[in-house]
Amino acid sequence: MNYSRAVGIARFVLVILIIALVMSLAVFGFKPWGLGGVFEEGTVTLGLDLQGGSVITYRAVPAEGEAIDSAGMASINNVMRTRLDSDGLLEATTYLVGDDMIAIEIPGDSDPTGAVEKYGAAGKLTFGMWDPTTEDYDKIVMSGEYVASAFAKTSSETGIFVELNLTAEGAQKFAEVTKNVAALSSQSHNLLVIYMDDKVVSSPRVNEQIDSQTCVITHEGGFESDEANYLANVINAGSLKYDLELASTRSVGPKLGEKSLSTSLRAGAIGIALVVIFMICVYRIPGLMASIALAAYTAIFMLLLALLHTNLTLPGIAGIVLSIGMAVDANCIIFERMKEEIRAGKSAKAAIKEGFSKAFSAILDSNVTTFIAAAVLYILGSGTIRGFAVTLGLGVIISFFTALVVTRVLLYLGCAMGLTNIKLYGVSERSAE
Amino acid sequence: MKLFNKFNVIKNSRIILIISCLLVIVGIVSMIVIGFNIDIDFSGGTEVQIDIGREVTDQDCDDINGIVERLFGKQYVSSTTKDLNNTSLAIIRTGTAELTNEQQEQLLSELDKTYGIDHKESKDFQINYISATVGKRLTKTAILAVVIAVACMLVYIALRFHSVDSALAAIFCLVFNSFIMLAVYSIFQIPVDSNIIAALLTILGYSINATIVIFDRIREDKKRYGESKTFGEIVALGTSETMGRSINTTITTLLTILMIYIFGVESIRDFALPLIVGIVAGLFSSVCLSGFVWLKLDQFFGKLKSKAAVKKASKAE
Repeated sequence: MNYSRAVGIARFVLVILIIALVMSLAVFGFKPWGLGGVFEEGTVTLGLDLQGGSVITYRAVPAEGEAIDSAGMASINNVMRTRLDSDGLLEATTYLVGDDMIAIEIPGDSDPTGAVEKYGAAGKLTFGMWDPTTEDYDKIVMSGEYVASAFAKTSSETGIFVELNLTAEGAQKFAEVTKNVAALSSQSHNLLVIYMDDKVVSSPRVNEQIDSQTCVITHEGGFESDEANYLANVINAGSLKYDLELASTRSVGPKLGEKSLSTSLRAGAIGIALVVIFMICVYRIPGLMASIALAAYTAIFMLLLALLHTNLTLPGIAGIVLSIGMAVDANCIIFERMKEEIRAGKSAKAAIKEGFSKAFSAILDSNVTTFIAAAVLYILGSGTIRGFAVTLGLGVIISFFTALVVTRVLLYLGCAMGLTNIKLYGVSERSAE
Repeated sequence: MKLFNKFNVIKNSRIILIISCLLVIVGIVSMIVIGFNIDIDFSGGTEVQIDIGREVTDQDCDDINGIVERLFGKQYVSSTTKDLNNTSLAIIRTGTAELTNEQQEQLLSELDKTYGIDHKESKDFQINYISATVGKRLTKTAILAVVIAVACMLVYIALRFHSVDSALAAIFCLVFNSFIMLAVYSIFQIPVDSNIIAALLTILGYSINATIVIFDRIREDKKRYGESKTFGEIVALGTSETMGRSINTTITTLLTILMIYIFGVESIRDFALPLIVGIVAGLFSSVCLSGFVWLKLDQFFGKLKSKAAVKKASKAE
């Protein structure tokens, strides 16, 4: 064995090791960097169609004469997020659809009936005091926008209580309101009633004017912990800028989701195996190198899925599997070119060089056009369609790298290792010319 | 493979055109006669999928429609069908009449009682609701997405190939492929839901790939042979030189998507079947139609130009 051949083999092994490293990084993760393995729970967010759950879409209905703006929708998105978080639904996601719709996805819950009303409620927080004419606490004196935040806290004296933090403006308003309410203490109508969408959530007694940016709501004998948390959350969740009406609900049972994922993964694995067999049969050594590049493609893809915490949907998996087939496309273009060059009398090494340079423009153009399709889908689509666009777009970019760079390096190393017989390149004889 | 390489698309253009016309006619007939299975994604309405624990008979479908009518009134009855893959699964649609949450609960508990099941335990249970406005909006989005994507591709090709006729030829193939896919949705009664946007755009991207590879080769051959060959000969040559790639790429892509079709669950199969047909149609249109159309457009524009030149010359005199 001569020296250059040994170097070729050593480099080839090195490339294989690098691919194996990326692959194991993707599969097992790397804890010191906080990178989870792609198959571990929590690394890749499974779309609702894979894990089961509900997606509820609301449409914003502005008050008469009012227009919907993006800031208002963003505030609704925030409120929705807070509401879901305060119910412990950290896995749930919210996103805006078009200009005037918002979708919430609740994994695991395939019966959205209760959630629809709960999260779509207007959430208008108001403070009311005694109205002598109606003889009820329905004189609205302050709205929720003056409240900055609320927390449930514990003290040794009063037990669990809720602390309200007001805005600067709110403190002034609150001082005036509490002065008026406290003035009614002689008739013992000195209650400040807190309403959420016309429902009473709390009715603390006010004994004196409160002239401060913070105030506390206590309960005789202290709140129950749940109660205090609920109150704080309700106040925090704030109100929606516009009324919401139900636009759609979609749900998938968890069993259907489970089945979808496992079958799709199996289909993907079999598909890759078949492509490898086909490529090696048709293109021999270049086919083998393309298969190794395909392993690199799969490894990089999985690593990116883990890094980007992608939301993987059923069409998304279809996009991945489809992109595997297409990743091989660039290789087919190049290898067909190489065969022609070899038939015309070129050496294997010269044919590799020519094959890549002549195939480049076709590969670039075809990748750009597919990428355009993916980009349009990403911009206009939502939910599962967007998942598909992400995987298709990623696939195009990664395959551009693996098909052009990784395969080329491997083929040159193949030549350095002495694999130059034209029969190894799928050409049986050179043309007579 | 050698056999395919010798296939001259220009000489055989008559057969190709006949096949294309037949496909288009079959598609149009199916769209008119059978129509489309429009999912509530586009039409709006409520859809309930429920496993009744035994095979769904026609009688069951009538019974369920009866339940819907008894509970809510006639305007809510749209259709109840048996799922083709899972025969114990009933698909109940209430058309454009929307069910409130309470009505949904009412229907489900009635079904539970009738068939002695618990829908919460039922596998493959689904309940979906789409308001009519959302459906209309989705239709708009779908059309917009396809139009924008096609326009972007057209501009890109026109810039890269410095010719509008090649871009028009490529777009012609896109329209042909999209039409064939829509025909498949009609013939196999695949539910037309939001996934159709993804399927259509994938095939658009994919088939334009194939066309570009061939056009790229034709452009290269044109440079190499210059005036020594007619454009028709160059088109036939370029197409046959890229035939190996066209077929092999189609095979590898089909291998993966076929596995999805064979092993996948129903919803993904509904997505995979149009893709499979689209990929095959993409092979046909890019190999057989794209070069031919480019040639015809080139000849057409060439005539226009020479006419214009003659006019100019005569005016100058």
